[in-house]
Amino acid sequence: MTVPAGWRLFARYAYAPNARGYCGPPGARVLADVARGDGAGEHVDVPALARRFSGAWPYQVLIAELAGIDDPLDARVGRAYWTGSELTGEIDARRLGELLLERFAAQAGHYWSHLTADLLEEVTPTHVFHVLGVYPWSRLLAGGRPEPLEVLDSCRIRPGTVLERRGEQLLVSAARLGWNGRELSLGEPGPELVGYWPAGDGEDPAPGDSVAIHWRHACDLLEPGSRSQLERYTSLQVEATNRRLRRSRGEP
Amino acid sequence: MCLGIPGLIVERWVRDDGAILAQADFDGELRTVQLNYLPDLQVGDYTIVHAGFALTRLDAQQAAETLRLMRETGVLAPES
Repeated sequence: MTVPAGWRLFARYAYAPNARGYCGPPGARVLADVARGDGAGEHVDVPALARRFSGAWPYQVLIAELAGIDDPLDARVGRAYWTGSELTGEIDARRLGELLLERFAAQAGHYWSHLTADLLEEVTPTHVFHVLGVYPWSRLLAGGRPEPLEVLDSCRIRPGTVLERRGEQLLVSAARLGWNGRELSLGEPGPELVGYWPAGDGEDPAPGDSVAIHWRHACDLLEPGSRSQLERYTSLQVEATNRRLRRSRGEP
Repeated sequence: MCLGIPGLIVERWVRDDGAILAQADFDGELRTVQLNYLPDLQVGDYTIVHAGFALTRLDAQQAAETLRLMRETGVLAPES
């Protein structure tokens, strides 16, 4: 049995936060097996695992529903959510936002009071919206502790360019989020070491390749189109977050 | 814990570097969390944790309701 492309894509992006114990049920090892695509993950029930990712799964369900795609784990759906794609732009973001907030507010609205209709203008059906808009961390930036920026930057999907392979790690050039006390911004790319999976299928990243980085793990090779969509949606959400933060300070 | 599962604090200690840590029970799974954002959380309190940090305090009723909703939506396995 070949692992469906959408299952593998989900496993690639879900692995790193799962391995840290942040998202989904225990199961990082089997997600890595699926992600590597070397046959070891052929018998993993990815749909059962994916349903227990309370952040990502509702987006994949709603993107599929609004796009008329039967399977929430279809690779087109996963690509639209994790990095952004042409399909992302075809989704009625406001409608998705309304449906999403119904779900999230029922589950989390009593402890995350920011999950209201005020958030609708920020919605894109993407992971970077979830990180910057739904999680509470962007609202904690002004407190001055280092964790909010570190979590936002690690949790968003970051594009990077491979400089060289160093054993089980990659040296990549990638931009970090910055915070000047008032606004978020994307800095100039700089070198950093990230983890990766030596591929079982000959897809090892090579110098010059673009990769997606999630929690300091290069989880996916990015085609130029996916990289530019990721950069575009990241910029859009950073701008939307800054508008919200300005409003929260009473500025126009 | 993409949206945050309620955890019951079962042990609490302060590390040499000042980090306030706790062992919390997330629906039967024990994980270590940092309490620096809510340093007065004590054993027996419920909290919502994200990315390893306790960010929100819950009372027992809120925690029970959240767990019920999470079971309903399939995020958590049904009670056996």
